[in-house]
Amino acid sequence: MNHEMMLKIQALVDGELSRPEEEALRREMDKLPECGAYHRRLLKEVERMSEISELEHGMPFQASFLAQRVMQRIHSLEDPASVGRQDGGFMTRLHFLWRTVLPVSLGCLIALWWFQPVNDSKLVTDTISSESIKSRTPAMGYYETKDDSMPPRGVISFRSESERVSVMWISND
Amino acid sequence: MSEASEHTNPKFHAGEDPDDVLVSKAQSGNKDAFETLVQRHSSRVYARAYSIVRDEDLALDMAQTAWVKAWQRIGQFGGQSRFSTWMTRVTINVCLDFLRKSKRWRFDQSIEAMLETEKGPDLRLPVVEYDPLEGLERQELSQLVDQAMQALSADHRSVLVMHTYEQLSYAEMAESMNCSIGTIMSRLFYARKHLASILEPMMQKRNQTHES
Repeated sequence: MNHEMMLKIQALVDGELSRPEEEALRREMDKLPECGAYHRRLLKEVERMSEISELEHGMPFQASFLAQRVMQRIHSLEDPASVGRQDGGFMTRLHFLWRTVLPVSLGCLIALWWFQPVNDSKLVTDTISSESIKSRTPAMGYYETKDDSMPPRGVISFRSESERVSVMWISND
Repeated sequence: MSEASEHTNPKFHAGEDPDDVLVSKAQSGNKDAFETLVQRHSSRVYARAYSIVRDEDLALDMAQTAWVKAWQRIGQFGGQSRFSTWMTRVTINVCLDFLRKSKRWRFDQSIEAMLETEKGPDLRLPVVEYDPLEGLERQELSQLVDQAMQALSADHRSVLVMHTYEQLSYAEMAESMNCSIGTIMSRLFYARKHLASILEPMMQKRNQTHES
């Protein structure tokens, strides 16, 4: 008896087969004695299971407790501010944080991110005047800026984009 | 509310509004009526949630969520079935949603996938050739089955609860569990087999105790 046959017999026991399907299966079962035995055993098992009543798991609290919590949640969904008042102000404070502090912080973060490239370019031009820059080439993670406007000294500054530090080296040559 | 449903509801007292009256009041936005329904059916809802998740705190959370969902969807309740039946279905769906999203469900599914793809349940689970429930008194049987249910995986427990205690059809279970009827048939098959294999040593232990 294969797995498919077992599932069909189960469906028969559970009353899930249509009349023609049931008749076809019964004809098939007549040919295979082990199918008949399996059918009888499963039928008995399912009948016994349906006879027993489910063990009642009582609530470890009063029904009114659950009702109160449910109604609080429903009120909070429909009027969030009212929950703050009921909960002694904690939810109100949370609500205030959510409505004011969070957007302001988010705005500040966005502003910082937005103005960062402007500040960076300022930093570079403040360090070395634009007239004195002879070459400014991007390298691996930093800009290499060479300045030889003050002969015989040469100025080489490095600005690391990732580390956000600038290093200036002045040579005596 | 029908007379039968009033009978089956132990918390319904004469003079109180029947469920259908409370439901129509709740549908028009009356929260007091809804609260009465919550109080009246809370134990059943909690029990059903517990039977699936098997954890008191989680069951309380599931019961609360189910009631909140019921309030949001009370307008969809058309009165074709009893309110308690509808509410039980809502509870089952909430529990199944939770299990689907949680790690427990994924773990169970991986076991199931392993069993089904390797066609190995017959090898892994002992073949039970006797009636595991024979010779037991009803109360004793209920307790043993309940203990065995505890040891089942969440999805196997869910199909058994839905089929045995809620009498849901394969199609209804498939809809609730968001899967095909074939998957439901397979889950039910393995769940029964697994339950029998758990009950076997329990029965042996019980018989040994009785003999000694």
